[in-house]
Amino acid sequence: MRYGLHLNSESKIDQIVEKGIEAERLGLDTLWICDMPSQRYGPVVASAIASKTRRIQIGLGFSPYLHTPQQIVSAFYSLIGAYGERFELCLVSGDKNQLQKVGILKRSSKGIPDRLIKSKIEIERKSEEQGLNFEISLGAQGPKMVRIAPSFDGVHLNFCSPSIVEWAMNEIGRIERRDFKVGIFAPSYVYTTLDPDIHQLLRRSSTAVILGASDRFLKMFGFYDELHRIEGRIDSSTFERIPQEIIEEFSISMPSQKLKEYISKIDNLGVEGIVFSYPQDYSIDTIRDLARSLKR
Amino acid sequence: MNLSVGITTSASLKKVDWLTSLAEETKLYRIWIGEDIDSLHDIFTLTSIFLLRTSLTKVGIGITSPLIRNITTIGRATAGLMELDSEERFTLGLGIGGLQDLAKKGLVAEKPLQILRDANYLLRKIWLGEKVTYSGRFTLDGYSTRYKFKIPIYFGARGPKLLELAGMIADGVIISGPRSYIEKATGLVKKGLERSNDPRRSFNIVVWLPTVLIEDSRGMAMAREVVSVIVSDTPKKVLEISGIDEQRTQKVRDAVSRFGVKKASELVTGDLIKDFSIFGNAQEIYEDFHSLEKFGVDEVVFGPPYGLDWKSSILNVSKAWG
Repeated sequence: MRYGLHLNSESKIDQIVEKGIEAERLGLDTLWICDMPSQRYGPVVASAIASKTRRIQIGLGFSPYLHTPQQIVSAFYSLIGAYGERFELCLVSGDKNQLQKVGILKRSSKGIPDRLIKSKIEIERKSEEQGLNFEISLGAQGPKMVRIAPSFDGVHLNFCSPSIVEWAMNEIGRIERRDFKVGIFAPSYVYTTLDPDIHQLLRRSSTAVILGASDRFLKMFGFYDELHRIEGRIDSSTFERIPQEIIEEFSISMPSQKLKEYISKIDNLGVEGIVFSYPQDYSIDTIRDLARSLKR
Repeated sequence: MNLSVGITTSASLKKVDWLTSLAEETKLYRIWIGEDIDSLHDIFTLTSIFLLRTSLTKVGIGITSPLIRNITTIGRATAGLMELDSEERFTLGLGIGGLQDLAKKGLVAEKPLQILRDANYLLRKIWLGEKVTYSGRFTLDGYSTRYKFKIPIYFGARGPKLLELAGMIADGVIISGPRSYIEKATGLVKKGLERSNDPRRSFNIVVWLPTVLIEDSRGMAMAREVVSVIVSDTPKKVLEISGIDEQRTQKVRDAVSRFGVKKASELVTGDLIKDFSIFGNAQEIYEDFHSLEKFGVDEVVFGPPYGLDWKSSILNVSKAWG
């Protein structure tokens, strides 16, 4: 099992770098930076982290709706050239609301899997031309995305409950390629002492993931009706009203001593990696809590 | 007047490595990085490498086009670059981009004045962390970030209106064109500066000219090739301003589009090389650069191709600079 930490790029770059250095010191395998329209530009953040670390793998999440395959390959060309072959890519569809804010409109949900596959092929071709070697995984949640996962080098599932992970593993089916890896990428808060404020951040972050899920996916697991029974409009500002049971399906929130048990369950399902996403990177202390929990 | 070196995103990693180590040793004022659209490096990542590997030399993007990526990506990336360095060594150069490169991507630079005016306005709003809604060539709908930065914007400008606009709203200008054009172009920039709300503000005039340190006939062949590219990408308006008869360049333009640069370079005359580039030995280049000072030029950029041996060319010119 490989362990990664997603670093939220809303923080100042020097703070992000400090967290990255600490994650490397604590023995985590990967740092992830997601290039979202509201956050700092991923490759620049990755460059800053790579300049101060030596071995830790750095993953970059990109949406092909915001960057062309050539632009993505160019970023990897510069990063790999300057800091060595320790970068990987995860293609994601991107947050619909955030993309709308930057003028990227009217994408049809039907076309998203196709767009992602085409981008992957193009990136692969262009990177081969440049002599670059990096893995390209997919960030997936709904059934359409999970089904196209075998076209990539791996998949990061944006949910974490063992029952949904088991469904996804069945959807993906048996993959003979030994290099194909399934991982989980989910909002996380693994703690030794619960801080209610950080837990609220986890709820907020999980709500964003839930609201980004397709109706079809929510219906499949019985969340749709439950969410629509909540009075009033549900959006990221009303995260308190999302039932805790649903939050738990999409986030890794547990005391330190329970983490091993959870890992064991998903390990048995064939998951090979976990990326602990925001707010696990909230502070150096929360990162240390995670590292300690993993070593228990 | 300051001496800077220019490279582009097509530069090899070897060149990047060498230049980052040389920059501080030779006291280069700035490294300018031009974006060759869809070439090897990502402009922002490459710029970050220069900023992270140096501590004194200024670093600028000169230029990137707001037409080839989302305007917010430029805003976010440049904010990150500014943040990498407490000395605020970073400058953003914005321009429309090479007409041929844009055409290859199916992009048309209609209303260039409006494009740069809007890009300048929106980027400054984004860097202030304001909530921005805008429609037109750039569409934003309630977009905001959480940072506050003030980043100098230089315009890479060629046409008379853009040059004036640079004087009016930018923090500097990067001028590139035939030698006879520089005097007139700086005049237009100054005219814009006078008409601006704040004519006394700090404003930097940068001239980036393709420069070839020539030691033998092979150097001349290189200069011919470079000039054929420049000639083919120089707008007619620039030729008009420069007082260069279009007929003199037409054959080269046609040859570039029909037969490619190498073949076209055979048609480049000594006069064209003189008009469109700076060439000679290190001392002659030094003198040529300094001759621009009288037009109010603050900074000159020793730009590619430098010379047959690019390392010794850059070293020799920076030594001549003293």
